[in-house]
Amino acid sequence: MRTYEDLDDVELWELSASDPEAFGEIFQRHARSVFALCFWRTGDAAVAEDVTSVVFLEAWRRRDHVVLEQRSALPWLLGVANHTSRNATRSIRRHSQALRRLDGRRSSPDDDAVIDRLDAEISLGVVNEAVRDLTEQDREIVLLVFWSGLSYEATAVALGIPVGTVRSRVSRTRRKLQLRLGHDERVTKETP
Amino acid sequence: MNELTTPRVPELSDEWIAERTQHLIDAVTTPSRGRSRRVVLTGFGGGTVAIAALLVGLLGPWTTPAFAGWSAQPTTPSSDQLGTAEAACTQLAGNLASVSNSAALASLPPIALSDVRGPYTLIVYGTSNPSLCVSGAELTSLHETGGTVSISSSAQVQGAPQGSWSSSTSQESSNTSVPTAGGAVANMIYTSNQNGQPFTVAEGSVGSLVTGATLILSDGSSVVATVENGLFAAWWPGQATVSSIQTTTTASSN
Repeated sequence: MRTYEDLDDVELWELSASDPEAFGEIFQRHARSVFALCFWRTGDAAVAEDVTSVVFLEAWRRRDHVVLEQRSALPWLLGVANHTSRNATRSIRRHSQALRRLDGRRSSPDDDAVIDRLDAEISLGVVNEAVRDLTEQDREIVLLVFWSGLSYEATAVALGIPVGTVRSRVSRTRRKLQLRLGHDERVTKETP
Repeated sequence: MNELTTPRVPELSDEWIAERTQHLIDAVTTPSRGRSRRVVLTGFGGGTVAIAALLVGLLGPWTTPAFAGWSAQPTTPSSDQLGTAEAACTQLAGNLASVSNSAALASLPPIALSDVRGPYTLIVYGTSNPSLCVSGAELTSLHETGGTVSISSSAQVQGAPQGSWSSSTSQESSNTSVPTAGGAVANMIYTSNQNGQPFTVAEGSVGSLVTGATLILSDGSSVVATVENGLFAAWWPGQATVSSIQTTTTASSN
């Protein structure tokens, strides 16, 4: 007997039209990757949690437009996450009615989780120093290619642009970062 | 890319995943009990207009009858009616840009004309290939031209409660003639519908002497248009087209 785990995203996506539990399986598969991008975007773990839920609500709403790359929904979901988390506050407000259903059901993080979150948020702030002046297009490349590890083809799906454009943006972003990081290193060495 | 370390991410517990999975399933299986809206997205081609998009958000059929309060003559806007309509249209334009991934559609040109009929406001944005938006009690409809929209199936107006959404087509005609000093020409006429109830929007140019315009429709009725900034605009329930335009000029008024 086949279970959800035996199905790929394409099969789950088709099944979800009549079986929402299949959509739940897609969430379980990709929630952590989506959350990561939302966290990098927002810099706030609590906000990123709700944006992650919003991403999947948005994905459900736009399911007729889904593009599955290599039979995976992740690139497309990260594209939705990229867009949704860019305007996190507005996105959460847009789905406030659905999120209110979580009231009273949210589990509070324990002390270790709180410390883990604070540590991650502080670390992110340090790393973000290197990318803070990048253009929006360059930041998308950092998020999707360098940090999320998407292929160029998958990134093209996520951003809805040609693969060739992804290649040129990666090249440009890499050059900028190399210049910046090299410069920062020199400055650090020259500082007493 | 060894130079740029991937930032670490807080751990999501299995409990969190399970909790949010159930929430998601509940959310997509439980219909919203709030007001629903319907959106219509349409692509056009023709003439110098590469692609046009029509985005209409409509409330469900259990709302008030279509176009209640509509008037064949422009009326005085109620307090903040224009501001409310402008906000709705701006939001709709943003949503259209969002669902179509077209940044070009996100911002609307400056307002060139506002036509108020009871609770409804028709706003004409820009003068060349203008965007037209009708907003009122039951309806927010945005018609944009010159964009690069490629939406072919359903989409939902973001910010609206969950509901049913569908796509449909509408008829459009365009014209780039220049009016005489005392005349008027329709630049754009298109028809859409609200819950099966069609409505038609017309926009055009008037000559330098024109102070008023009345549209004579194909069903014999007439609609007084709003004239501002060398433009006229009006809309009416139904699919009747414009048979002719009667103008009032400074010369005829004197």
